[in-house]
Amino acid sequence: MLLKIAGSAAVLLACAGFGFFAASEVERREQQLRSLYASFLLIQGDIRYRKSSLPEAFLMAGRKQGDFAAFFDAVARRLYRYEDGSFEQVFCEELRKCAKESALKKKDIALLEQLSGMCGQMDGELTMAAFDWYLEQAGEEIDVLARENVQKTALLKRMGILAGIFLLVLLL
Amino acid sequence: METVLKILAANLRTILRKLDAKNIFEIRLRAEKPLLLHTMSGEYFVTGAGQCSRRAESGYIVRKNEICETMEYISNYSLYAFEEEVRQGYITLPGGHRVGICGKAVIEGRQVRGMKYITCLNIRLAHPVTGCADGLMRHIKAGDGIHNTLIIAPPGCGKTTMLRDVVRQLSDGGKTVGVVDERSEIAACSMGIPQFDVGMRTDVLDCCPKAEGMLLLIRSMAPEVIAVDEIGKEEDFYALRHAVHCGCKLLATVHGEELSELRAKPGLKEICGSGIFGRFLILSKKDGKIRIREALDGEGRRLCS
Repeated sequence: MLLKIAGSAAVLLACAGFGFFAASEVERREQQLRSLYASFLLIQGDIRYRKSSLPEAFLMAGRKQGDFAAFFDAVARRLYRYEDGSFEQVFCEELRKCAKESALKKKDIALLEQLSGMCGQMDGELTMAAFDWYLEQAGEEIDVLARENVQKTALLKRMGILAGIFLLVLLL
Repeated sequence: METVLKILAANLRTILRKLDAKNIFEIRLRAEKPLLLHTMSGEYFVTGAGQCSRRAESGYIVRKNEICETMEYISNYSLYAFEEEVRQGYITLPGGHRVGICGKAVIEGRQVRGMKYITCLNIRLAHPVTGCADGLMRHIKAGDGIHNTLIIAPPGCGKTTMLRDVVRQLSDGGKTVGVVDERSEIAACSMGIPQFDVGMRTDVLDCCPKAEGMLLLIRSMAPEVIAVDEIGKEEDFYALRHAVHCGCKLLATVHGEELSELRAKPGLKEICGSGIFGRFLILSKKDGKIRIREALDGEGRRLCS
C-alpha cells in the first residue's frame, strides 16, 4: 500500500512538474525575446549615434547584463579575429550554439538569421531599416506572448496536474 | 605589417605571410588579376607559394570573393560605418595604413554617394618619417613661440609627413597643439587613437571639416598651435583668420609649387598677402627624400635656399 501511495505521488509530481516546466519555458521564451529586443535596440542606437561597427556594437551589448550577453560577446570576439568569414556566418554559428540552451523557437532563430544577412551593408539607412524590421517583428511576437502567456502558463500547469491525476486513475 | 595581413582574405594572408614584408609600399588587389606588390626595388607579382616574381603569368590570381572578404575585414563587417570614407575612396586602418577603394561609383545628384562592385584595392603601407622636419624647425620657431607657417608643396612631396613631424616636435617640446585631421592623414586615427606619433600634447579632431574643426578646437581645447592639412576653401580662410584673432598660432599646408602661384589664386591670394603667415616653406622631393627648396618670410623674402 505504501508503495502504491509513493508511486502515485511520484507520477503526480512528475506530471505536475512537467506542466510547470513547460509553463516556465513559455515564460522564459518571452523573457529572452525581451532581452534580445533590448540588446538590439541598444545596438541599433549605438550604430545610429556613434556609427559603431558591428563588432564594436556587439561587444558593447555583450558587456551589458542580459540573457544573451555571452552570445553578443562571443560574436564580437570572433569578428575581431578576422578569420571566420562573413558576419552572417559567424553570427549564425554562434546563434546555433547559444540556441541549444535557450528557450527560443525555430521561428525566433530564423528571424535572427535573416537579420544577420541584412547587417553591415554599405547603406547605413538599410542597416537601420534591418534593425527596425527585426525589432518590429520581435515586438509583435512579444506582444502576442504577453497577451497569451498568462492563460497559457496557467493552462500548462493545470494540464500537468490533470495529466498526473488521469494517469493515476488509469494505473489504479 | 601584421595589421595589414589581418585584414586580408584568408588565402591572401597565407600567401603574403611567407614573404619578407620589409620595404613593401603597396599591395594591389584587382579582381581576376595577379597579386602585385610595390617595393623599394620595384614592382613584383606574388606567386601562390608566396614568392616574388617579375613574371605576370606566375602571379597568384586574386578572386572577386577574396576582395569581398577583404572588404568585410577592412570595414569591420560594417561598410555603413565607412560610408563617408568609401565616398572619398579610402579607408584608414589601424597603424595609419590606407586602403584605396575602386569600383563602380554610385551617383546621386551628380555626387558620388557610394561605391558598388568594389574590385580594386590599393593597400598603402604607412612609413612615418620621424625627424624629417628637423631642418624645418629653425624656420618655424621664433624664440619661445612659433611663426604662423604655411608649408607649400606639390602632391606627393611630403607635406603631410612634414606637418606631422612638426606637430610632434612642437607638442613634445611643450606646446599644446590642436590638429584638425579632416582626412585622417596627419594622425591616422583608428577608433580615436592616433596611429602616428603626433606628440604628447596634441589633441586630434578626426574626420572633421577643417573650418568647423578649427573653431571647435579653439572653443574646447584652447590650443596654442592649430595644425591643418591642405587648406583651400573659402571657409578655411575665415577659420584661419579667426584662429589668429584668438591668439592661436597656425601650421598649415597647401598644394602649390611657388608662393607667386598661390598669390594668383582667389582666396589664397588674400590669406597669403594679409600678413597672417610669417613663414612660407616650399618643399620638394629628390631621390625619395623630402627637402626644403625655399624658406620665405611673411613678405615673401627668401630666408635661405
